[in-house]
Amino acid sequence: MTRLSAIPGLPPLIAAAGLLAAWELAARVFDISGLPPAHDALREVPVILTDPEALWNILASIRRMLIGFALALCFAIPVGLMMGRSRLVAAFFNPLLMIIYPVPKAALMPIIMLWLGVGDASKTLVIFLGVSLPVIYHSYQGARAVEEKMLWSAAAMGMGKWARLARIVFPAALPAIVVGIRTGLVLALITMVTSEMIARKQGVGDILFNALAMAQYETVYATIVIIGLLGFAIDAGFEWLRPHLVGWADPVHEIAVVGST
Amino acid sequence: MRRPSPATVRWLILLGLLVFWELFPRTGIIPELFLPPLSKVAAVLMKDWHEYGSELGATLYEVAFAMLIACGGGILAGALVGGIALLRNLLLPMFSSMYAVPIVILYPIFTAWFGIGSQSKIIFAGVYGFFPVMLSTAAGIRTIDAQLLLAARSMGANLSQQITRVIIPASIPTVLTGLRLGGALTIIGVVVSEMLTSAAGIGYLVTRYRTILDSAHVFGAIVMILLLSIAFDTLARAIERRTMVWQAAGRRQREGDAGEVVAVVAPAPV
Repeated sequence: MTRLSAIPGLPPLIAAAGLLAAWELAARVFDISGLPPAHDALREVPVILTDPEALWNILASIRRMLIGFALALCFAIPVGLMMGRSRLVAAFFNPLLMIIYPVPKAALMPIIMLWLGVGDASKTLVIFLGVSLPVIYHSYQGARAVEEKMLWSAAAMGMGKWARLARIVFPAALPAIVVGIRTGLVLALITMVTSEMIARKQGVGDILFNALAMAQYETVYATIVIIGLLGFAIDAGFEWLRPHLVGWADPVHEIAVVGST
Repeated sequence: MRRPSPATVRWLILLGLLVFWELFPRTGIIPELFLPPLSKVAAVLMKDWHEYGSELGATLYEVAFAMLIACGGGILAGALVGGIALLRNLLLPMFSSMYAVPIVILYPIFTAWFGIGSQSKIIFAGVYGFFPVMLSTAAGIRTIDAQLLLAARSMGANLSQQITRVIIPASIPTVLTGLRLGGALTIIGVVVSEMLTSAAGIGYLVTRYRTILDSAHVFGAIVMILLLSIAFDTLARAIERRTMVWQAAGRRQREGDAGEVVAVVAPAPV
């Protein structure tokens, strides 16, 4: 069993096959309209993906997610790194974050909708908030763990404060930042879907509820499958990208890196 | 001058925010529709406490049952998955590959199956909170120092003694972290599903008053949601702190595998 599950890509395949089989079986046993058989729903997936309006909605959702995600990275990584290196910045942001942390971001959605309407701006803001927190947290932890000697040597060689932050702290903290980015990516998708379901105007959440209201359960399930695949693909894509970003942080190569610097 | 403690700074910032909340709308910098003054929100809460109280009761009722599913089911499933190698090798990779799938998309299906009453909310929020509890229970059981079990076994402990005397006490800290996250997600799950489709609960109040642009009532309901989740977080952290004493002893984090799982299930509540 251990050897089987070690094959990359196999466990998700088994999971998908098991889910589909259970779904097909349950649909046949219960035989209710709210649970169409798996093959009927899957047949609907290409229909949605070739329908221009649905496709446009899905792409609008993805675009919002990417904008919110990118803005969050531009804000959160510098803030996290500065918090890790400067007591003053940490003293300012820490209490704010401690207050924001336990607040469910979805509960803020209605307030943000009062401010910015139900359009793109409020959804992007919620995605931004959701992504920022884990990225700040991990960047902060990464920046704090930077070896002081490297910073001293750089300062002794005349490197300025900001150059040190960009050229020493950032690369040294990158493995930790990448962990935060992975969590942030997942949260971006979750907040994207949640915000669209609360503020229904367009996007994937809208397709879902429209189909539900018209009792087109095949479309509902097909949309869920599409979002699920999207989440799976984003996460798997990032896991594939991670070694290319921080391959040198692998413990095996650590000695070589230290030697070459 | 002595530096003020972090707790003092936090309270001062909170106080400052509350003062701004009162002053900005009063002076007209922010329109009252966007941000009703604190005193007005408080007045609305006082006036309509009966309505808010009964809706809070509905929410708490759903939260209580959902917690039962999330925590009870999560601990049970986590113990099985963590304790039995076959299940662990089969299921854990599946769960981690499904980690990025937003569970909230399942809520529409639950309304189709169980209606828009409290039943669908309880089940949705239960499922929402189930995964962090299950994953951290499994991780907690897996990361128990093998030498503890070895020592217990060599002193003649049978399986039930090993479970009650070694495995349960040693995994409590990790399980509690999972319960804190899962519980927070359960509350969010109930509130969000109430916002989406329902006829009762605090989340329903938010949506109803938002559609008629009564922002003082919206803020009142959101203040109650925030108080509910902050109260839960404080309570859970206090319980965790009390059990910290034996966390350091008897636990050896294995790099990579189990630590990864804990890190993965630890995003901030959304």
